[in-house]
Amino acid sequence: MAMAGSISNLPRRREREQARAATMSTEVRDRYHELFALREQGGGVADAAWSTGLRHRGFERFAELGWPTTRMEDWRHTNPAPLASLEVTLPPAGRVLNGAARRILNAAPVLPGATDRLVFVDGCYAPGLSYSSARAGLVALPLAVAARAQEDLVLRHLASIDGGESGALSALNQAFLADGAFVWLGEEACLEGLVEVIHVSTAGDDCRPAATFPRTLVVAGAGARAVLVERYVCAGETTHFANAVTEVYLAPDASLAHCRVTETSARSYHVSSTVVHQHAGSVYRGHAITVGGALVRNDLAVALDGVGASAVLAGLFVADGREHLDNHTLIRHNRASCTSRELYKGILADHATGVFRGKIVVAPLAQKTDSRQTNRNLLLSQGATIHSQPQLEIYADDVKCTHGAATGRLDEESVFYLCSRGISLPDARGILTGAFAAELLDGLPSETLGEQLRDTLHDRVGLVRLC
Amino acid sequence: MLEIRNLHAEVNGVEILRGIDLVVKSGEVHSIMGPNGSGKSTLAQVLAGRTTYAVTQGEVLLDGKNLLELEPEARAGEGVFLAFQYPVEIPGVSNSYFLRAALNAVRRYRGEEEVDAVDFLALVRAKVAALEMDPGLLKRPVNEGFSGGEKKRNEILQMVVLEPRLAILDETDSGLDIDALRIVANGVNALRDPRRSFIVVTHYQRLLSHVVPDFVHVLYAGRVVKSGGKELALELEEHGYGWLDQQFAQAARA
Repeated sequence: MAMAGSISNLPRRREREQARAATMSTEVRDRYHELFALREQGGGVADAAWSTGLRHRGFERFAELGWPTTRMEDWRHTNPAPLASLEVTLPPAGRVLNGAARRILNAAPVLPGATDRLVFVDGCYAPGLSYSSARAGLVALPLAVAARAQEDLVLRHLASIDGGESGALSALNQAFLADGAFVWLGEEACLEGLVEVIHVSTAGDDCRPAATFPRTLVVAGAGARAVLVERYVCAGETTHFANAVTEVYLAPDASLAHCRVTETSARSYHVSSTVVHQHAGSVYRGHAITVGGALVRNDLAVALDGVGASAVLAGLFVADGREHLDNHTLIRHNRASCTSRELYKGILADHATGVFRGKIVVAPLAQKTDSRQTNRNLLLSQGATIHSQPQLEIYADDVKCTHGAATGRLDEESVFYLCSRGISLPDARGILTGAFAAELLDGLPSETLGEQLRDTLHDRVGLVRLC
Repeated sequence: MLEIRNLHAEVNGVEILRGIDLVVKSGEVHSIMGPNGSGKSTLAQVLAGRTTYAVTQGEVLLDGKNLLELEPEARAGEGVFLAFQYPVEIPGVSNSYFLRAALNAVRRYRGEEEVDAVDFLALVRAKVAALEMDPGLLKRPVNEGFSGGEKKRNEILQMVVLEPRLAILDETDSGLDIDALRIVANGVNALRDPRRSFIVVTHYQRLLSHVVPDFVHVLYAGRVVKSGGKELALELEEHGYGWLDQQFAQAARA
């Protein structure tokens, strides 16, 4: 021991690191405890008595789990320390001023066909920017309002989906639960158009990042069909830390197309957990589009809990500068004859880092599972990095599961072909980048959303619109 | 119009072109023939600006302008067009989008107005019909899943849309059946014009009985070793390239 110590300082360094992590974990717990206590006593939750129990249970669980570290398998490629060190504040609940409203609309323009729109500014519901179609078979309301009207329905579903297995960050979201979106679809409700849930960050700066804890709950009755667009955007130069949780319940034969779009500035942070619970014959189509962010971590867990349910997960993540985007997906095939299709694509420029970890677990009961997973990544520069990690765990014997991952650069031959026809080098690269992203942007349930994203990606990574 | 002087080019330190001299005047069709590995395709790609090949000596002037100083896209703007021997498949980009982007890029370069989608469609439909192509190919991704013949016809389609000043056809005849060969040749002949020149790179004489060249050059080991009229192509067809080995092997080694 003594000899090893004198030759190498490794064991001691590891000890020091562990000690530092423990200290950090205590510090960050204390910091959030202080915020939690202030908020609970300070009247910030005056009209949220309905969720008092949930919040306190959430904080207890967070305190028990502690802040994640890179020693955890789930955080191997994403260091959560920068998140821990953010000296966050809770943004004040304020009115949305006219100028801000305009900025918000610019950041998230209303999509054609949007019949219902719930807008949250720094975590608070903004009634002036929201509207509802009041259609039969649909409830789209702020959680707090819904909880007052139908406390049973809300509490029955909220925070019950993961059976208490949520991670520390989800628990933290629950501890700071304030408001969010509640979307309920009645049995056989077949909704034209789409429902928008928009979260806009306007507060916070580098010294005092604003923390928000958005929550979305979707409950779809048997045979219901709808399109939901959930969008996280910034209005203006802000530094914030959004910690979002979305829960989706699909009753038998319900069908939901769910776009989850996050556009985060290079100074801001976003972590999210989306959990989907599917009954027999239900269909979930997830479109996860992630653009930018100092550090973004999106977890998506889908449980196929009924015979013949199917999930289609499509993801596109795009980063430049020194941004870091991490996507974890987990599909649990728990019952027989379920289908899952997953395609995630990453586009990384400059010194950006991407992570894709796609896990598929096929339970012993899940015979006749049909699962296909693909991850493709495009590195636009020498300095960009991707960690891609498909993972299959199969405990049934009559299944069809495939997975594949490929990472590459723009094909030089194709670039030359385009240039030889007069197309400039940046356009040639942009056209090929656009072609790489096309199937994901074209597949969105809103064409306009695809076009808006193409514009954003043009500014980010020079993507050229192909039309 | 095109002047190639003492052109040397290499790839990975291996010299492929070893001093090419060639003058192509306006309105002329020149054919470049030669055995495999003689440098025909390299010459075609170097003219179009492929950077895989490093030009070590010489110059290439198009209307007095030094092509070697221009990026590939600027060469296209100046009127150079290369019909690829192996056209590249570009999934996710529709053929009609690609064609219009190319046409408008070239028009911008030349200070001409861009063509809008409606006018473009009318223009391209007529050309597609003339080349007896399936109009459905316009909506498909560039060359993806095209047959060999369709790919080659698609190259000719791009050529007739871009109306180049100098068209270089790199083994456009390979992989074509007799009907497709006739269609491609008609496409080329329809573009023949006193202000336009062609360099037709080929192994075989058969394309040249449809697209009749003014001059035929034999490339061997990176040099033009023999030039003549269209009869030279027939001569090569009859005797093959074997005689070159005997006649020039020694000289090439020297």
